[in-house]
Amino acid sequence: MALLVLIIWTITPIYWYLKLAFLTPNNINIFPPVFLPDDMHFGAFVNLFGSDYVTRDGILLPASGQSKQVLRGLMNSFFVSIISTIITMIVIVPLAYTFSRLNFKFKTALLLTILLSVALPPISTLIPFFAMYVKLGLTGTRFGLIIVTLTITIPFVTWMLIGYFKNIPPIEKLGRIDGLGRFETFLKVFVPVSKNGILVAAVISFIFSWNEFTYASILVNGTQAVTFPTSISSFLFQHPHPQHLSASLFMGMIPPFIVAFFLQRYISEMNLVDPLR
Amino acid sequence: MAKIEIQNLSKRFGEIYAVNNQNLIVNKGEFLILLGPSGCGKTTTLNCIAGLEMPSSGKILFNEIDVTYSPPHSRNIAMVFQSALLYPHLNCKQNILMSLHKADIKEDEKERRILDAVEILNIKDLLIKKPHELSGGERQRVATAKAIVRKPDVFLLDEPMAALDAALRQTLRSELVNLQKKLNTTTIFVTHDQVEAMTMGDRIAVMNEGKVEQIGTPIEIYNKPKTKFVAGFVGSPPMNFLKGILIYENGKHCFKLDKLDNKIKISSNVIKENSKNLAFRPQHIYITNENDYDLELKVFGVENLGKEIIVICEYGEEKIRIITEKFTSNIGSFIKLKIDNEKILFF
Repeated sequence: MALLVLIIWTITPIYWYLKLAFLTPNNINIFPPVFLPDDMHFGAFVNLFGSDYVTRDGILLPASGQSKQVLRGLMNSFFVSIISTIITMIVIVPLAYTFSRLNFKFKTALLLTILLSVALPPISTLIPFFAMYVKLGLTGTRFGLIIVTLTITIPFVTWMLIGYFKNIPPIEKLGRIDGLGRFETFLKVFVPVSKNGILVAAVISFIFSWNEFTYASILVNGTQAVTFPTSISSFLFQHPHPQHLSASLFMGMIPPFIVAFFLQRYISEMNLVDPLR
Repeated sequence: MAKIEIQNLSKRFGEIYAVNNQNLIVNKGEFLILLGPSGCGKTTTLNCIAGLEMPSSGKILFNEIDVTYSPPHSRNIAMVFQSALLYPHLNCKQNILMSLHKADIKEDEKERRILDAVEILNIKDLLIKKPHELSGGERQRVATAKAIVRKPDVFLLDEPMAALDAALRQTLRSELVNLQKKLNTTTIFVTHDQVEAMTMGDRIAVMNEGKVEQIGTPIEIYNKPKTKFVAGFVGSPPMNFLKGILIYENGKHCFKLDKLDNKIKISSNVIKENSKNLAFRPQHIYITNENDYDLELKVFGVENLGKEIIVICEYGEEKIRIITEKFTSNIGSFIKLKIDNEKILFF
């Protein structure tokens, strides 16, 4: 029963807002509002991609003025997210392996420095980054955004992966008995064995990049390198079309939703609580 | 087959000695058990022999050749890890093949060896399965197959049966011993289970705090433990200890107990001077109705095992265990006990 209340409590506002994406402006303004309107359509999405749409009743819905921004934002977001995820994975898999499976001096101190950067709020480094980027000419570039995104994804996902790697049985010993070198063991044995965890880490890193808003809104907003979340925020100053805003939000929610669905199977395997253990 | 010699081996982790100046000789074709409680250094010793860990000092010789610093693979050993560890992402056949990964032999020879191992261990149906699809016993067999295809000089087994249930362990114990005798490979088996140690080993080395306390055949270890630790660790239920002092009175040896007024008469052939502990196995003490008794204790608990009954009595805070065939008294009542004089040990 409590669960039911919780579900309704969570779902209803989301449903209510996303419903707007499928309505014409007139239907949005109807009072009292209808919970399950009968004439839903994909007009807002078509508009958002830059085309007019005519409903069955013959109402013309003109293309959104924001469509260029939104499309560019989508492209940039995918580009930045994918590239930074790839770089993140190349960096963190060996990094997390080193911290979770090997012993060396100052290990805890070094690990803490990595983990501490997770505790740093992004906004605190925003101004230094901006000042530096202006000098380097990196504002408004996707390259600059990728660099900044990596500063968020790398520490956080390393932290996750360390916990997961610690729970893998000591297969390196088996590899050494079988005559595999350290690097060979890592690449041919360890990575395949822990592929679930690495996959989850990659997906989380993708979502982090996808949802990154703070840096993007300052460093790239209004430029060629605008990302999807920032392009949505620019609706704020335009002629209000609730259905367009709602439709773009809907698109923004899809990737995290797919991921959340996909994650729940694997996430319990990961020991996220205590990477220092 | 190899003779293994460990000379003054020490392994230090920080300030703690996991293995402390250990000497050990394992003869050719012998099944040696390293027995001890967790943290006694038995696995570290095994890892040093395998080459997985570098000793802090000391030497390891295989057939008189110093292998202390050579990598694991060059030592021609095979190792089975705790709970029979296998590569989770490979199927059983690939797992077994990994053993021959670096071996300089032809493909058809590899196939032949795998077929032999499969035959010996009866795992034909398992070859295409992944480790997580196997039961504990099957996994154990595959891990053993992985070990024997290499035709190693030395088998090293690190508590391979720790995660299995009792019934399965019993079956696998005899299978493993049988296999070892068939192949006649020098074997070192690490365990903390004294039943495994007693039933499987040619010799047992009992370890405590980084050192071998005693090495000998199971019978020697059981009947003539050299130290109090060995006496207390080997045997189930464990040996009973009574604290006190050995005295000489009226031309007879007696043991005066700390906690009771009783004096226990001792026959002179078991005497060890300056002993503070009197020890005896639970089967060497009897319940008696006569006045010539050694102890009178309160019954704390009774465990009926069918063929025998274990009676647990209170002796101060400690418990004294007695194995008997018949027991009629109740918990809380007092019983009179007589210790078999000839079987007493002193520490």
